[in-house]
Amino acid sequence: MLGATGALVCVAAGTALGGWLRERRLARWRMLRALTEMLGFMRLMIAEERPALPDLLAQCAASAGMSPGSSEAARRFLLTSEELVRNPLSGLGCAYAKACAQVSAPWEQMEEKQALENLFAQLGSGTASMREQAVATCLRRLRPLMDGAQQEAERGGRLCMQLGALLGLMAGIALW
Amino acid sequence: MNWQETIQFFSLCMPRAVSRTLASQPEGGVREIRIRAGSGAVLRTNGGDIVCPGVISPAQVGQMAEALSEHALYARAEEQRQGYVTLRGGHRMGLCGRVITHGQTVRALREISSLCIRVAGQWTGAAEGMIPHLLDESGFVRSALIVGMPGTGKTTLLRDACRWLSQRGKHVCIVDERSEIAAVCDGAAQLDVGPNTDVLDGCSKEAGFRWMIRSMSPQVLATDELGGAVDLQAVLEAGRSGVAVLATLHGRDLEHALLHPLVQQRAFDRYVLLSPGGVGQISMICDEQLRPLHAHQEAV
Repeated sequence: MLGATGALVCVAAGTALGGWLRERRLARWRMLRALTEMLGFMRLMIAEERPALPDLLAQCAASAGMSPGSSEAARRFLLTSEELVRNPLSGLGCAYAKACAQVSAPWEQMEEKQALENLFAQLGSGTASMREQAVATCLRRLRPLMDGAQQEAERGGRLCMQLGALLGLMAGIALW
Repeated sequence: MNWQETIQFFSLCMPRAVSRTLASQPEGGVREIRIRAGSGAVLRTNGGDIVCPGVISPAQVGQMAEALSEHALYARAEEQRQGYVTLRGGHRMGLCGRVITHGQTVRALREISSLCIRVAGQWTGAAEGMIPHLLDESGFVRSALIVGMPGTGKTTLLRDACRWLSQRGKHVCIVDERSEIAAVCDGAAQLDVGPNTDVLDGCSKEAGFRWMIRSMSPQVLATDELGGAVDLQAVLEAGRSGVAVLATLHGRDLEHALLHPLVQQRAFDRYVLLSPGGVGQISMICDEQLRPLHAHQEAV
């Protein structure tokens, strides 16, 4: 009886671990998708309406809506906007770094982190076309990452789940 | 935007030493703030210049320009190319730095090294000296041109004249090309231009005058800093439509003003000359034939 329960617990724990790993990959893909949508909107706003940076960031955050994975990215944009209003001399790069420290995204990887840091370092100066170009460059870097993350989430996620379940099953059999 | 709000706005965008000195000034005391990379900020006050402690780095000047423009410097490229940006509250920020040119055309400004912030003031009663000359015997508004050097209070006088006429029921329309007369923000004028005043913000004088005459049936059209032949045409057309024009023009004295086609053509009924030495001090008011009517100083 104890062996059967132990085996079941192992299967459940293995499956849950696999599910968690899958969810983490999915979260990264969702965040990258939300980011590319927000940056696409940002590019359009810079080209067409040219709002002040705090307004631009707040509007981008609002454009992300409530789609899954958008909340962290949108919150970072919003916090950056608020920091710029509260402390206008702080500079966009610093304000974004502060926002990142406040809103953690554990699934975020170095590549997208770097791309966004570069964007926020460039977005605070230069002409409208230079800023638009900076957003376009960031988008160019994020899109392949998003596609890669999607594939990884779809294939790797399933594999993680199956592996987790299998490991759990093996541990369960060994216990029984 | 009152004095407290103005100081709060500037303080947020400037180094602490400058903010502290600014905050210690009496209400309405600061006329100009000068920032130069490599030296301390200078406040030009009614009581003389005050040098703020500390040296401002070139990077700080750029950050301050961005902060003062509320991080919208990139959106104000056209204004930047003219050498200034109008800030919230109608204050004018003059810019200096490295100019990127293409042939004879200014394309952009880089490496901002100096700022000159002219603090816009709401001085109620500033135009008292010229007000008796604004209405004729039948109560119609006369066209008037305010002539003075930069920083002598031309816009302040113009704004106060608009407010006065508007409060007396005259329908005043302001074409505020540089957002300095009414300082419109989110659709509302931040400086008092009177209850009977419509403001067309950010529009050129020529297009704005036509727009206003066509759509708002003004009795008075007001605008700042007349320039070339296009402005002359706009003023003459407004005059032909029977609308009085209140405007300002850069010039040291009557002789210099006479070099301008607007004065040569006697397009106005009254010419108000401001003293180069002070702020808002009327040195002379002339009639349409440029004969002096009034020649004593009116300190504001």
